[in-house]
Amino acid sequence: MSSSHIEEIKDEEIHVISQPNRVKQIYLTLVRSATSEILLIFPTINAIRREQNIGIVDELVMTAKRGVIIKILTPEDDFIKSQLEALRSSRIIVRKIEYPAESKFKLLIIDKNISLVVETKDDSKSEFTEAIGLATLSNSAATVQPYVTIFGSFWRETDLYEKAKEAERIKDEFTNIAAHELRNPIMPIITSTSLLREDMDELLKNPSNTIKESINSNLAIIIRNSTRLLQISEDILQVSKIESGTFIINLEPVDLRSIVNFVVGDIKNKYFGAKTKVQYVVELEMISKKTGFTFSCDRSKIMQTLFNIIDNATKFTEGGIIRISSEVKNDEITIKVIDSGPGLDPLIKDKLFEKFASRSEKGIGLGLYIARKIVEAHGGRIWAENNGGKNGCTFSFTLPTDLRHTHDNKIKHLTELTLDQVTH
Amino acid sequence: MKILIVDDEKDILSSLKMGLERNGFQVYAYSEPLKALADFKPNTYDLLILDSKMPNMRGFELYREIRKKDARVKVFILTAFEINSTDTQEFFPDLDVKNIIQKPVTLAQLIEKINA
Repeated sequence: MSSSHIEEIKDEEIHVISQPNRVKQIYLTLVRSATSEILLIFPTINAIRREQNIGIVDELVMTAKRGVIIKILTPEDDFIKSQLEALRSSRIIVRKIEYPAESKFKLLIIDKNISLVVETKDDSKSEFTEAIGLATLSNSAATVQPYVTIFGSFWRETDLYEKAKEAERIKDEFTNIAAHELRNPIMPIITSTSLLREDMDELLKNPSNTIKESINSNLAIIIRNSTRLLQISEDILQVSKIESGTFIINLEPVDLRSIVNFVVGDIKNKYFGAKTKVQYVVELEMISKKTGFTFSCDRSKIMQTLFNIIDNATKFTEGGIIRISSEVKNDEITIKVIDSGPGLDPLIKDKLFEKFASRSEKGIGLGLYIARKIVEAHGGRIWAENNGGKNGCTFSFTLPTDLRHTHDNKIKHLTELTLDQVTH
Repeated sequence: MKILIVDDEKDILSSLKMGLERNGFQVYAYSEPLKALADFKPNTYDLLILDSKMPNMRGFELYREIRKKDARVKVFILTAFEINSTDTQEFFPDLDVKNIIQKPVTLAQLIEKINA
Protein backbone atom coordinates (compact mmCIF):
# COMPACT_ATOMS: atom_id res chain seq x y z
CA MET A 1 0.00 0.00 0.00
CA SER A 2 1.12 3.56 -0.64
CA SER A 3 1.00 6.34 1.93
CA SER A 4 -2.57 7.21 0.86
CA HIS A 5 -3.95 3.86 2.01
CA ILE A 6 -7.16 5.36 3.22
CA GLU A 7 -8.07 6.65 -0.20
CA GLU A 8 -7.12 3.28 -1.62
CA ILE A 9 -9.84 1.45 0.25
CA LYS A 10 -12.79 3.18 -1.32
CA ASP A 11 -14.77 0.00 -1.67
CA GLU A 12 -15.31 -2.31 1.27
CA GLU A 13 -11.96 -3.96 1.80
CA ILE A 14 -9.80 -5.68 4.38
CA HIS A 15 -6.03 -5.30 4.18
CA VAL A 16 -3.44 -7.28 6.07
CA ILE A 17 -0.35 -5.18 6.68
CA SER A 18 2.85 -6.90 7.63
CA GLN A 19 5.37 -4.03 7.46
CA PRO A 20 5.62 -2.29 10.83
CA ASN A 21 6.60 1.07 9.34
CA ARG A 22 3.44 1.11 7.24
CA VAL A 23 1.34 0.23 10.27
CA LYS A 24 2.86 3.21 12.07
CA GLN A 25 2.09 5.54 9.15
CA ILE A 26 -1.46 4.27 8.77
CA TYR A 27 -2.02 4.61 12.51
CA LEU A 28 -0.97 8.28 12.55
CA THR A 29 -2.85 9.08 9.34
CA LEU A 30 -6.03 7.47 10.64
CA VAL A 31 -5.95 9.46 13.88
CA ARG A 32 -5.46 12.67 11.86
CA SER A 33 -8.30 11.77 9.51
CA ALA A 34 -10.93 11.33 12.24
CA THR A 35 -13.84 13.77 12.01
CA SER A 36 -16.25 12.68 14.75
CA GLU A 37 -15.06 9.86 17.01
CA ILE A 38 -12.04 7.74 17.90
CA LEU A 39 -12.33 4.55 19.93
CA LEU A 40 -8.97 3.22 21.06
CA ILE A 41 -7.66 0.36 23.15
CA PHE A 42 -4.08 0.42 24.39
CA PRO A 43 -3.09 -3.21 24.91
CA THR A 44 -0.35 -2.76 27.53
CA ILE A 45 1.37 -0.15 29.69
CA ASN A 46 4.44 -0.44 27.44
CA ALA A 47 2.29 0.22 24.35
CA ILE A 48 1.42 3.68 25.66
CA ARG A 49 5.09 4.49 26.18
CA ARG A 50 5.99 3.29 22.68
CA GLU A 51 3.14 5.19 21.10
CA GLN A 52 4.06 8.36 22.89
CA ASN A 53 7.49 8.04 21.24
CA ILE A 54 5.95 7.82 17.75
CA GLY A 55 3.80 10.88 18.47
CA ILE A 56 0.38 9.25 18.99
CA VAL A 57 -0.29 10.91 22.35
CA ASP A 58 0.34 14.38 20.87
CA GLU A 59 -1.70 13.50 17.80
CA LEU A 60 -4.66 12.42 19.98
CA VAL A 61 -4.48 15.65 21.99
CA MET A 62 -4.54 17.70 18.77
CA THR A 63 -7.41 15.66 17.35
CA ALA A 64 -9.40 16.18 20.55
CA LYS A 65 -8.86 19.94 20.18
CA ARG A 66 -10.53 19.72 16.77
CA GLY A 67 -13.65 18.55 18.60
CA VAL A 68 -13.33 14.82 17.90
CA ILE A 69 -14.70 12.67 20.74
CA ILE A 70 -12.00 10.26 21.91
CA LYS A 71 -12.60 7.29 24.19
CA ILE A 72 -9.64 5.26 25.37
CA LEU A 73 -9.49 2.00 27.28
CA THR A 74 -6.14 1.28 28.81
CA PRO A 75 -4.35 -0.50 31.61
CA GLU A 76 -3.05 2.02 34.13
CA ASP A 77 -0.18 2.30 36.56
CA ASP A 78 1.89 4.98 38.24
CA PHE A 79 4.56 4.94 35.50
CA ILE A 80 2.23 6.21 32.78
CA LYS A 81 0.26 8.61 34.97
CA SER A 82 1.68 11.71 33.23
CA GLN A 83 0.82 10.44 29.73
CA LEU A 84 -2.75 9.63 30.79
CA GLU A 85 -3.01 12.96 32.60
CA ALA A 86 -2.05 14.75 29.34
CA LEU A 87 -4.84 12.88 27.58
CA ARG A 88 -7.44 13.41 30.31
CA SER A 89 -6.75 17.12 30.58
CA SER A 90 -7.54 17.43 26.85
CA ARG A 91 -11.07 16.19 27.45
CA ILE A 92 -10.25 12.70 26.22
CA ILE A 93 -12.16 10.08 28.19
CA VAL A 94 -9.67 7.56 29.50
CA ARG A 95 -10.84 4.53 31.42
CA LYS A 96 -8.91 1.82 33.10
CA ILE A 97 -9.46 -1.74 32.01
CA GLU A 98 -7.81 -5.02 32.92
CA TYR A 99 -7.15 -7.45 30.10
CA PRO A 100 -6.38 -11.09 30.10
CA ALA A 101 -2.65 -11.40 29.37
CA GLU A 102 -3.16 -13.38 26.16
CA SER A 103 -5.25 -10.78 24.29
CA LYS A 104 -2.71 -8.04 23.70
CA PHE A 105 -4.21 -6.45 20.61
CA LYS A 106 -4.51 -2.78 19.84
CA LEU A 107 -7.83 -1.62 18.45
CA LEU A 108 -8.46 1.69 16.74
CA ILE A 109 -11.87 2.61 15.32
CA ILE A 110 -12.23 5.83 13.35
CA ASP A 111 -15.67 7.44 12.98
CA LYS A 112 -17.26 3.99 13.42
CA ASN A 113 -16.30 3.05 9.83
CA ILE A 114 -12.60 2.19 9.72
CA SER A 115 -10.85 -0.22 12.06
CA LEU A 116 -7.19 -0.97 12.62
CA VAL A 117 -6.27 -3.97 14.73
CA VAL A 118 -2.59 -4.46 15.58
CA GLU A 119 -1.13 -7.56 17.17
CA THR A 120 1.50 -7.13 19.89
CA LYS A 121 4.32 -9.50 19.03
CA ASP A 122 6.88 -8.58 21.68
CA ASP A 123 5.74 -6.24 24.44
CA SER A 124 9.25 -6.03 25.91
CA LYS A 125 10.55 -4.00 22.95
CA SER A 126 10.71 -0.25 23.36
CA GLU A 127 10.33 0.59 19.64
CA PHE A 128 6.79 0.57 18.22
CA THR A 129 7.95 -1.04 14.99
CA GLU A 130 9.78 -3.83 16.82
CA ALA A 131 6.96 -4.64 19.20
CA ILE A 132 4.13 -5.12 16.74
CA GLY A 133 3.17 -8.01 14.48
CA LEU A 134 0.49 -8.18 11.82
CA ALA A 135 -2.19 -5.55 11.45
CA THR A 136 -5.55 -5.56 9.72
CA LEU A 137 -7.10 -2.43 8.30
CA SER A 138 -10.74 -2.53 7.29
CA ASN A 139 -13.52 -0.25 6.14
CA SER A 140 -15.98 -3.10 5.81
CA ALA A 141 -19.04 -2.84 8.01
CA ALA A 142 -18.84 -6.59 8.53
CA THR A 143 -15.54 -6.20 10.42
CA VAL A 144 -15.82 -2.68 11.82
CA GLN A 145 -19.29 -3.09 13.40
CA PRO A 146 -18.35 -6.11 15.54
CA TYR A 147 -15.30 -4.17 16.78
CA VAL A 148 -17.52 -1.21 17.68
CA THR A 149 -19.75 -3.62 19.61
CA ILE A 150 -16.77 -5.19 21.38
CA PHE A 151 -15.45 -1.77 22.34
CA GLY A 152 -18.93 -0.79 23.60
CA SER A 153 -19.19 -3.82 25.82
CA PHE A 154 -15.70 -3.23 27.28
CA TRP A 155 -16.73 0.38 27.91
CA ARG A 156 -19.88 -0.68 29.77
CA GLU A 157 -17.86 -3.21 31.72
CA THR A 158 -15.70 -0.38 33.07
CA ASP A 159 -18.93 1.39 34.17
CA LEU A 160 -19.99 -1.66 36.14
CA TYR A 161 -16.48 -2.06 37.52
CA GLU A 162 -16.45 1.56 38.73
CA LYS A 163 -19.89 1.15 40.33
CA ALA A 164 -18.89 -2.09 42.02
CA LYS A 165 -15.71 -0.47 43.31
CA GLU A 166 -17.68 2.51 44.65
CA ALA A 167 -20.19 0.19 46.37
CA GLU A 168 -17.30 -1.72 47.90
CA ARG A 169 -15.71 1.52 49.11
CA ILE A 170 -18.99 2.69 50.72
CA LYS A 171 -19.37 -0.70 52.41
CA ASP A 172 -15.80 -0.59 53.75
CA GLU A 173 -16.26 2.96 54.98
CA PHE A 174 -19.49 1.96 56.70
CA THR A 175 -17.88 -1.05 58.37
CA ASN A 176 -14.96 1.05 59.53
CA ILE A 177 -17.15 3.84 60.93
CA ALA A 178 -19.46 1.29 62.55
CA ALA A 179 -16.49 -0.49 64.17
CA HIS A 180 -15.17 2.83 65.45
CA GLU A 181 -18.53 3.93 66.86
CA LEU A 182 -19.19 0.58 68.54
CA ARG A 183 -15.73 0.24 70.09
CA ASN A 184 -15.51 3.72 71.54
CA PRO A 185 -18.35 3.43 74.09
CA ILE A 186 -17.30 -0.11 75.07
CA MET A 187 -13.94 1.12 76.34
CA PRO A 188 -15.24 3.35 79.21
CA ILE A 189 -17.86 0.72 80.13
CA ILE A 190 -15.10 -1.88 80.62
CA THR A 191 -12.84 0.50 82.53
CA SER A 192 -15.55 1.94 84.76
CA THR A 193 -16.99 -1.49 85.54
CA SER A 194 -13.64 -2.70 86.84
CA LEU A 195 -13.20 0.53 88.83
CA LEU A 196 -16.71 0.12 90.20
CA ARG A 197 -15.88 -3.35 91.48
CA GLU A 198 -12.92 -1.92 93.40
CA ASP A 199 -15.20 0.88 94.66
CA MET A 200 -17.70 -1.67 96.00
CA ASP A 201 -14.94 -3.51 97.94
CA GLU A 202 -13.73 -0.18 99.30
CA LEU A 203 -17.28 0.88 100.22
CA LEU A 204 -17.66 -2.14 102.51
CA LYS A 205 -14.37 -1.36 104.26
CA ASN A 206 -14.64 2.39 104.42
CA PRO A 207 -17.91 4.03 103.30
CA SER A 208 -16.50 7.53 102.76
CA ASN A 209 -18.00 10.33 100.66
CA THR A 210 -15.10 10.08 98.21
CA ILE A 211 -15.92 6.47 97.45
CA LYS A 212 -19.61 7.30 97.04
CA GLU A 213 -18.72 10.04 94.56
CA SER A 214 -16.49 7.64 92.65
CA ILE A 215 -19.31 5.09 92.47
CA ASN A 216 -21.68 7.72 91.13
CA SER A 217 -19.26 8.94 88.53
CA ASN A 218 -18.47 5.39 87.34
CA LEU A 219 -22.17 4.54 87.20
CA ALA A 220 -22.81 7.70 85.17
CA ILE A 221 -20.14 6.65 82.66
CA ILE A 222 -21.59 3.14 82.37
CA ILE A 223 -25.19 4.36 81.93
CA ARG A 224 -24.25 7.02 79.38
CA ASN A 225 -22.10 4.77 77.27
CA SER A 226 -24.35 1.73 77.33
CA THR A 227 -27.27 3.92 76.21
CA ARG A 228 -25.07 5.24 73.43
CA LEU A 229 -24.01 1.73 72.46
CA LEU A 230 -27.65 0.63 72.33
CA GLN A 231 -28.55 3.55 70.12
CA ILE A 232 -25.65 2.98 67.72
CA SER A 233 -26.35 -0.73 67.36
CA GLU A 234 -30.06 0.00 66.72
CA ASP A 235 -29.09 2.56 64.08
CA ILE A 236 -26.70 0.19 62.33
CA LEU A 237 -29.28 -2.59 62.38
CA GLN A 238 -31.95 -0.27 61.01
CA VAL A 239 -29.74 0.94 58.16
CA SER A 240 -28.87 -2.60 57.14
CA LYS A 241 -32.62 -3.40 57.12
CA ILE A 242 -33.36 -0.29 55.03
CA GLU A 243 -30.64 -1.19 52.56
CA SER A 244 -31.49 -4.86 52.26
CA GLY A 245 -35.17 -4.06 51.78
CA THR A 246 -36.37 -5.89 54.89
CA PHE A 247 -37.66 -2.72 56.51
CA ILE A 248 -41.31 -3.26 57.50
CA ILE A 249 -43.75 -0.90 59.22
CA ASN A 250 -45.88 -2.61 61.86
CA LEU A 251 -48.85 -0.47 62.81
CA GLU A 252 -50.26 -0.58 66.32
CA PRO A 253 -52.23 1.89 68.44
CA VAL A 254 -49.69 4.19 70.04
CA ASP A 255 -50.16 6.86 72.73
CA LEU A 256 -48.12 9.85 71.58
CA ARG A 257 -47.69 11.23 75.13
CA SER A 258 -46.28 7.99 76.45
CA ILE A 259 -43.71 7.50 73.66
CA VAL A 260 -42.52 11.11 73.81
CA ASN A 261 -42.04 10.82 77.58
CA PHE A 262 -40.22 7.50 77.21
CA VAL A 263 -37.86 8.96 74.64
CA VAL A 264 -37.17 12.07 76.72
CA GLY A 265 -36.31 9.74 79.62
CA ASP A 266 -33.89 7.75 77.41
CA ILE A 267 -32.23 10.95 76.23
CA LYS A 268 -31.81 12.10 79.84
CA ASN A 269 -30.13 8.75 80.57
CA LYS A 270 -27.80 9.19 77.65
CA TYR A 271 -26.64 12.54 78.99
CA PHE A 272 -26.77 11.39 82.63
CA GLY A 273 -24.20 13.28 84.66
CA ALA A 274 -23.41 15.74 81.85
CA LYS A 275 -22.33 19.16 83.04
CA THR A 276 -24.82 21.17 80.97
CA LYS A 277 -28.44 20.28 81.48
CA VAL A 278 -31.00 20.65 78.71
CA GLN A 279 -34.58 21.38 79.72
CA TYR A 280 -37.28 19.47 77.81
CA VAL A 281 -40.76 20.97 77.44
CA VAL A 282 -43.49 18.72 76.02
CA GLU A 283 -46.65 20.38 74.63
CA LEU A 284 -48.76 17.85 72.74
CA GLU A 285 -52.15 18.30 71.14
CA MET A 286 -54.85 15.64 71.34
CA ILE A 287 -55.28 13.71 68.09
CA SER A 288 -59.05 13.43 68.36
CA LYS A 289 -61.68 13.54 71.09
CA LYS A 290 -62.50 9.92 70.37
CA THR A 291 -58.99 8.47 70.50
CA GLY A 292 -57.25 11.01 72.74
CA PHE A 293 -53.52 10.86 72.07
CA THR A 294 -53.66 7.48 70.36
CA PHE A 295 -53.06 6.84 66.66
CA SER A 296 -51.69 4.06 64.46
CA CYS A 297 -47.96 3.92 63.74
CA ASP A 298 -44.93 1.69 64.20
CA ARG A 299 -44.24 2.22 67.88
CA SER A 300 -40.54 1.32 68.08
CA LYS A 301 -39.65 3.01 64.80
CA ILE A 302 -41.43 6.27 65.65
CA MET A 303 -39.70 6.16 69.04
CA GLN A 304 -36.40 5.78 67.23
CA THR A 305 -37.27 8.74 64.99
CA LEU A 306 -38.12 10.87 68.03
CA PHE A 307 -34.97 9.71 69.80
CA ASN A 308 -32.73 10.52 66.85
CA ILE A 309 -34.22 14.00 66.35
CA ILE A 310 -34.30 14.96 70.04
CA ASP A 311 -30.82 13.49 70.57
CA ASN A 312 -29.50 15.51 67.65
CA ALA A 313 -31.09 18.66 69.08
CA THR A 314 -29.61 17.87 72.51
CA LYS A 315 -26.08 17.54 71.14
CA PHE A 316 -26.26 21.08 69.81
CA THR A 317 -28.26 22.72 72.59
CA GLU A 318 -25.87 23.10 75.47
CA GLY A 319 -27.87 24.08 78.49
CA GLY A 320 -30.84 25.39 76.49
CA ILE A 321 -34.46 24.41 76.05
CA ILE A 322 -35.92 21.83 73.66
CA ARG A 323 -39.66 21.99 73.01
CA ILE A 324 -41.52 18.99 71.64
CA SER A 325 -44.92 19.96 70.30
CA SER A 326 -47.61 18.53 68.05
CA GLU A 327 -50.42 19.83 65.89
CA VAL A 328 -53.23 17.91 64.26
CA LYS A 329 -54.87 18.88 60.98
CA ASN A 330 -56.91 16.79 58.51
CA ASP A 331 -55.78 13.25 59.37
CA GLU A 332 -52.21 14.40 59.76
CA ILE A 333 -50.11 15.07 62.83
CA THR A 334 -47.07 17.35 62.71
CA ILE A 335 -44.49 16.80 65.44
CA LYS A 336 -41.96 19.57 65.99
CA VAL A 337 -38.70 19.52 67.95
CA ILE A 338 -37.65 23.12 68.53
CA ASP A 339 -34.23 23.78 70.00
CA SER A 340 -32.40 26.88 71.17
CA GLY A 341 -29.02 25.79 69.78
CA PRO A 342 -26.82 27.47 67.17
CA GLY A 343 -29.10 26.61 64.23
CA LEU A 344 -28.40 24.52 61.14
CA ASP A 345 -24.88 24.33 59.77
CA PRO A 346 -25.09 25.89 56.28
CA LEU A 347 -22.48 23.37 55.05
CA ILE A 348 -24.74 20.38 55.53
CA LYS A 349 -28.18 22.01 55.57
CA ASP A 350 -29.15 20.31 52.30
CA LYS A 351 -27.68 16.94 53.22
CA LEU A 352 -29.04 16.67 56.78
CA PHE A 353 -31.16 13.61 56.10
CA GLU A 354 -28.53 11.74 54.10
CA LYS A 355 -26.16 9.08 55.39
CA PHE A 356 -22.94 10.15 57.15
CA ALA A 357 -23.79 13.86 56.95
CA SER A 358 -23.01 14.40 60.64
CA ARG A 359 -21.35 17.61 61.81
CA SER A 360 -21.25 16.35 65.33
CA GLU A 361 -17.88 15.03 66.42
CA LYS A 362 -19.61 12.20 68.18
CA GLY A 363 -22.05 10.16 66.25
CA ILE A 364 -22.14 8.01 63.24
CA GLY A 365 -24.25 10.27 61.03
CA LEU A 366 -27.09 7.81 60.58
CA GLY A 367 -29.75 9.13 62.96
CA LEU A 368 -31.47 11.66 60.73
CA TYR A 369 -31.19 9.40 57.67
CA ILE A 370 -33.03 6.68 59.58
CA ALA A 371 -35.58 9.20 60.86
CA ARG A 372 -36.33 10.23 57.27
CA LYS A 373 -36.66 6.63 56.06
CA ILE A 374 -39.06 5.79 58.90
CA VAL A 375 -41.20 8.89 58.37
CA GLU A 376 -41.34 8.30 54.61
CA ALA A 377 -42.27 4.66 55.10
CA HIS A 378 -45.27 5.92 57.09
CA GLY A 379 -46.17 8.26 54.22
CA GLY A 380 -45.02 11.37 56.09
CA ARG A 381 -42.52 14.17 55.40
CA ILE A 382 -39.55 15.44 57.38
CA TRP A 383 -37.70 18.75 57.18
CA ALA A 384 -35.62 21.19 59.20
CA GLU A 385 -35.46 24.99 59.27
CA ASN A 386 -33.80 27.71 61.28
CA ASN A 387 -35.98 29.58 63.77
CA GLY A 388 -34.57 32.91 62.67
CA GLY A 389 -32.72 35.45 64.79
CA LYS A 390 -30.01 32.91 65.65
CA ASN A 391 -32.55 31.25 67.89
CA GLY A 392 -31.98 27.58 67.17
CA CYS A 393 -33.77 25.40 64.65
CA THR A 394 -36.85 23.25 64.29
CA PHE A 395 -37.05 19.68 63.02
CA SER A 396 -40.57 18.76 61.93
CA PHE A 397 -42.16 15.60 60.64
CA THR A 398 -45.66 14.63 59.69
CA LEU A 399 -47.43 11.32 60.09
CA PRO A 400 -50.82 10.31 58.77
CA THR A 401 -53.20 9.54 61.67
CA ASP A 402 -55.45 7.30 59.61
CA LEU A 403 -53.11 4.46 58.62
CA ARG A 404 -54.29 0.85 58.63
CA HIS A 405 -52.79 -2.45 57.54
CA THR A 406 -54.26 -4.17 54.51
CA HIS A 407 -54.50 -7.96 54.38
CA ASP A 408 -51.32 -8.17 52.30
CA ASN A 409 -49.52 -6.31 55.08
CA LYS A 410 -49.13 -3.03 53.25
CA ILE A 411 -50.15 0.23 54.87
CA LYS A 412 -52.78 2.55 53.46
CA HIS A 413 -54.89 5.50 54.50
CA LEU A 414 -58.27 4.52 55.92
CA THR A 415 -60.07 6.43 53.15
CA GLU A 416 -58.29 4.33 50.51
CA LEU A 417 -59.55 1.08 51.94
CA THR A 418 -62.75 -0.83 51.63
CA LEU A 419 -64.04 -2.29 54.89
CA ASP A 420 -62.96 -5.87 54.16
CA GLN A 421 -59.36 -4.75 53.58
CA VAL A 422 -58.96 -3.46 57.11
CA THR A 423 -57.40 -5.82 59.61
CA HIS A 424 -57.40 -3.52 62.60
CA MET B 1 5.70 7.45 86.11
CA LYS B 2 4.16 10.39 84.27
CA ILE B 3 1.62 9.67 81.53
CA LEU B 4 -0.05 12.16 79.20
CA ILE B 5 -3.37 11.00 77.71
CA VAL B 6 -5.12 12.80 74.85
CA ASP B 7 -8.58 11.56 73.82
CA ASP B 8 -11.64 13.58 72.83
CA GLU B 9 -13.90 10.94 74.36
CA LYS B 10 -14.24 12.46 77.82
CA ASP B 11 -15.57 9.25 79.39
CA ILE B 12 -12.62 7.25 78.10
CA LEU B 13 -10.30 9.97 79.36
CA SER B 14 -11.76 10.22 82.85
CA SER B 15 -12.08 6.48 83.40
CA LEU B 16 -8.52 5.84 82.19
CA LYS B 17 -7.20 8.66 84.35
CA MET B 18 -8.94 7.29 87.41
CA GLY B 19 -7.86 3.72 86.67
CA LEU B 20 -4.21 4.55 86.01
CA GLU B 21 -4.00 6.87 89.02
CA ARG B 22 -5.28 4.10 91.27
CA ASN B 23 -2.41 2.00 89.97
CA GLY B 24 0.17 4.54 90.96
CA PHE B 25 0.66 6.47 87.73
CA GLN B 26 0.68 10.26 87.51
CA VAL B 27 -1.81 11.10 84.77
CA TYR B 28 -2.26 14.34 82.80
CA ALA B 29 -5.43 14.24 80.68
CA TYR B 30 -6.45 16.40 77.72
CA SER B 31 -9.58 16.17 75.59
CA GLU B 32 -8.39 18.92 73.24
CA PRO B 33 -5.41 17.89 71.08
CA LEU B 34 -4.50 21.50 70.24
CA LYS B 35 -4.38 22.41 73.91
CA ALA B 36 -2.34 19.30 74.66
CA LEU B 37 0.16 20.34 72.00
CA ALA B 38 0.32 23.95 73.18
CA ASP B 39 1.00 22.83 76.76
CA PHE B 40 3.42 20.06 75.75
CA LYS B 41 6.90 20.27 77.25
CA PRO B 42 9.61 17.83 76.16
CA ASN B 43 11.32 15.55 78.69
CA THR B 44 8.32 15.79 81.01
CA TYR B 45 6.47 12.53 80.44
CA ASP B 46 7.49 8.89 80.41
CA LEU B 47 4.63 7.89 78.13
CA LEU B 48 2.05 9.49 75.84
CA ILE B 49 -1.26 7.78 75.03
CA LEU B 50 -2.91 9.42 72.00
CA ASP B 51 -6.26 8.68 70.41
CA SER B 52 -6.02 8.24 66.64
CA LYS B 53 -9.19 10.12 65.67
CA MET B 54 -9.94 13.49 67.18
CA PRO B 55 -11.63 16.69 66.05
CA ASN B 56 -9.38 19.65 65.08
CA MET B 57 -6.30 17.51 64.90
CA ARG B 58 -6.01 13.85 64.14
CA GLY B 59 -3.90 11.59 66.31
CA PHE B 60 -1.16 11.14 63.74
CA GLU B 61 -0.84 14.90 63.26
CA LEU B 62 -0.53 15.38 67.01
CA TYR B 63 1.99 12.54 67.05
CA ARG B 64 4.06 14.21 64.32
CA GLU B 65 4.02 17.59 66.04
CA ILE B 66 4.95 16.10 69.40
CA ARG B 67 7.75 14.10 67.81
CA LYS B 68 9.24 17.40 66.56
CA LYS B 69 9.37 18.63 70.14
CA ASP B 70 10.36 15.38 71.80
CA ALA B 71 11.98 12.69 69.65
CA ARG B 72 12.48 10.18 72.46
CA VAL B 73 9.30 9.92 74.49
CA LYS B 74 7.47 6.59 74.27
CA VAL B 75 4.09 6.83 72.52
CA PHE B 76 1.04 4.56 72.45
CA ILE B 77 -1.64 5.20 69.85
CA LEU B 78 -5.16 4.17 70.84
CA THR B 79 -7.46 3.46 67.94
CA ALA B 80 -11.04 2.28 67.53
CA PHE B 81 -10.42 1.61 63.82
CA GLU B 82 -9.14 -1.61 62.34
CA ILE B 83 -5.37 -1.71 62.63
CA ASN B 84 -4.23 -1.80 59.05
CA SER B 85 -0.52 -2.19 58.50
CA THR B 86 -0.26 0.00 55.38
CA ASP B 87 -2.19 2.89 56.96
CA THR B 88 -0.14 2.48 60.11
CA GLN B 89 3.11 2.74 58.19
CA GLU B 90 1.86 5.75 56.29
CA PHE B 91 0.64 7.70 59.29
CA PHE B 92 3.07 6.55 61.97
CA PRO B 93 6.16 5.61 59.95
CA ASP B 94 8.56 5.36 62.89
CA LEU B 95 6.12 3.86 65.37
CA ASP B 96 6.41 0.23 66.43
CA VAL B 97 3.18 -1.58 65.53
CA LYS B 98 3.06 -3.09 69.01
CA ASN B 99 2.57 0.44 70.36
CA ILE B 100 -0.70 0.76 68.46
CA ILE B 101 -3.48 -0.39 70.74
CA GLN B 102 -6.92 -1.37 69.54
CA LYS B 103 -9.87 -0.08 71.55
CA PRO B 104 -11.48 -1.42 73.63
CA VAL B 105 -8.58 -2.38 75.88
CA THR B 106 -9.02 -3.33 79.54
CA LEU B 107 -7.21 -1.44 82.24
CA ALA B 108 -5.24 -4.57 83.14
CA GLN B 109 -4.12 -5.08 79.53
CA LEU B 110 -3.11 -1.44 79.23
CA ILE B 111 -1.09 -1.52 82.46
CA GLU B 112 0.63 -4.69 81.28
CA LYS B 113 1.58 -2.88 78.04
CA ILE B 114 2.83 0.14 79.98
CA ASN B 115 5.02 -1.99 82.23
CA ALA B 116 6.30 -4.19 79.42
